[in-house]
Amino acid sequence: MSSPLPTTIDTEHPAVATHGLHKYYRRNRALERLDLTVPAGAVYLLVGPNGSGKTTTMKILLDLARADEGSTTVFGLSPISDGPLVRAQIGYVPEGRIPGYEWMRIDHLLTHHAVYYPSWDEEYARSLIAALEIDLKKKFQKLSKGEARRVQLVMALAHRPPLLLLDEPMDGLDPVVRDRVIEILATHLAETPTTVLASTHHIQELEKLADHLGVIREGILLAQSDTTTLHTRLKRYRIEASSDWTAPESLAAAIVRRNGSGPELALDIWGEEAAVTADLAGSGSTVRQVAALNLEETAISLLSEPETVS
Amino acid sequence: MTSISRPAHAMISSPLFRSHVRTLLIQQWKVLLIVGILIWLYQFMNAGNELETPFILDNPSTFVAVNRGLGLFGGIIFLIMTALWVFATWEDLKPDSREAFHVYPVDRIRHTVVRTAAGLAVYVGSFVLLWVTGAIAVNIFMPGGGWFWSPAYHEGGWIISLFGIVNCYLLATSLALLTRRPQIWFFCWIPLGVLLTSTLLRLLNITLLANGFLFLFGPQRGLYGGLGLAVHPTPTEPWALPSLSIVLIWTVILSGVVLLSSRVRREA
Repeated sequence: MSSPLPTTIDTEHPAVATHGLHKYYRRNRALERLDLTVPAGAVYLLVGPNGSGKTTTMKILLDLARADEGSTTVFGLSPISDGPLVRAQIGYVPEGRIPGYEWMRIDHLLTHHAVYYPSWDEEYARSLIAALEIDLKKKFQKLSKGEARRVQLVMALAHRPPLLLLDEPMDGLDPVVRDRVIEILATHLAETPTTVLASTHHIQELEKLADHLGVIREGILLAQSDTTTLHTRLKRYRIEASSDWTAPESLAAAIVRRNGSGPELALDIWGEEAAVTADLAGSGSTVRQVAALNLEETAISLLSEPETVS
Repeated sequence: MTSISRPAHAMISSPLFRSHVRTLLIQQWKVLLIVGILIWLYQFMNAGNELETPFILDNPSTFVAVNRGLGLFGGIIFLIMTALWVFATWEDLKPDSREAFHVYPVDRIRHTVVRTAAGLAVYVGSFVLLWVTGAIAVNIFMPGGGWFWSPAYHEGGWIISLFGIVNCYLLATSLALLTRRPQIWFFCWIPLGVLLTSTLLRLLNITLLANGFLFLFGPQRGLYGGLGLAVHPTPTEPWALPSLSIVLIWTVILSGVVLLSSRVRREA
């Protein structure tokens, strides 16, 4: 029974495209047949549990890791053969603390970092530093996780790259700063044409910026689509049914998640609402409510274990 | 300019090179200051030896002991300087840092070459500068106190391996980058390991072992000396010149490989 979930995105201008990426760390699978497509100008959220391959994917885009098989392009260039050209177009917020020299003061670190990027916008950098309340006189190694993340955001944004790779950008930030970062990102996207590929566990905070979602588990991309399609095609149906109710054959593959037991069930089902409702009614159940899912619910639903329908 | 000197000139005049020199100076200026004071102190103390009128002692046997001590002292200074450079440049190749530095839009090999050159400029440059200024100061304050090239400064047999260390660094860096195996970079530690071990053995007065160790692994005739990776170019040693020429050939070849591979990759 093949899944009806979308795993490809059709676009003429992909900013990022991977084809059949395989990556193993010794015997541990990091990625398997990953076909990721991020359209130019999109804000693409890549979500999945820890260790699902999100960071590995970003590292492959930067040529920090190399896939065992498959190919990758960033704006049509290969990160392997055109590494410097590719990296010139990327602003990267890494998952860990790796911006460069731990022993340097932040002002020195930013000055050194700026040398690499001819497009570095000093005025913008200063405004970001002020907005994020960064203490320039501190050494990087003395920063807390959240403070380091703020510095990393300045380093990634201030050269106004066409592609942002944000690996858990909200990690370690307090709620006030998280809110400010969202504002900064929204303004940045409005002012600078940028494609964003972000991995996050804080989906709801980035939801208002995101227009694409990819869901990955154990290195396998379960689904990827624009958020409009996800909102219209994946819905939660609350039904009443007898205890021995079974899903109709036509919906077996489309039920993404099933919650509850007994007479009241909540089913997340992929498909046209009218057709799904008709199929459910035809199977002897009563549809009490149909609700759209927000992005976080969508991700959780898509990440749940595959439904077993008797 | 030749095809090799052109990219080398471009590299040294690049903002990236200047920035790396600045970062290294920011990182190490306090240590460099202390080392500078030690170098000057050493040269003023050794100036007494050069005059053979040591200002501390007049007993010949004690004089020899002090002379050896000074040799060791100078050796330690040299080791500190070298270790500073090795540690600073190691930042570029240890796995975490590789990730940090290689997110930048610079060819990886070129980045390491720039950083290595900046390290050389800062550490070897500082060493030479401090040494020369120290010698000038000695001759201002203690006329006839000897210059930095005079044999007394080589008495401890410790001004060795500068070429060896540079060559080991270049060789190991090239191999580590080309094979993408950073652990190969540990080859850089061989000259320092040899120096430290032989110094330790001599300090413990195990001369036979120290000599045996140097014979097997040392910079003169041993493992990497035999490979032409290091040399002790004192005029009294007949093997010095051929070994030095091998070292120079190594330097040119390895520098060329690194620079050219960097250029080829950039133009690919």
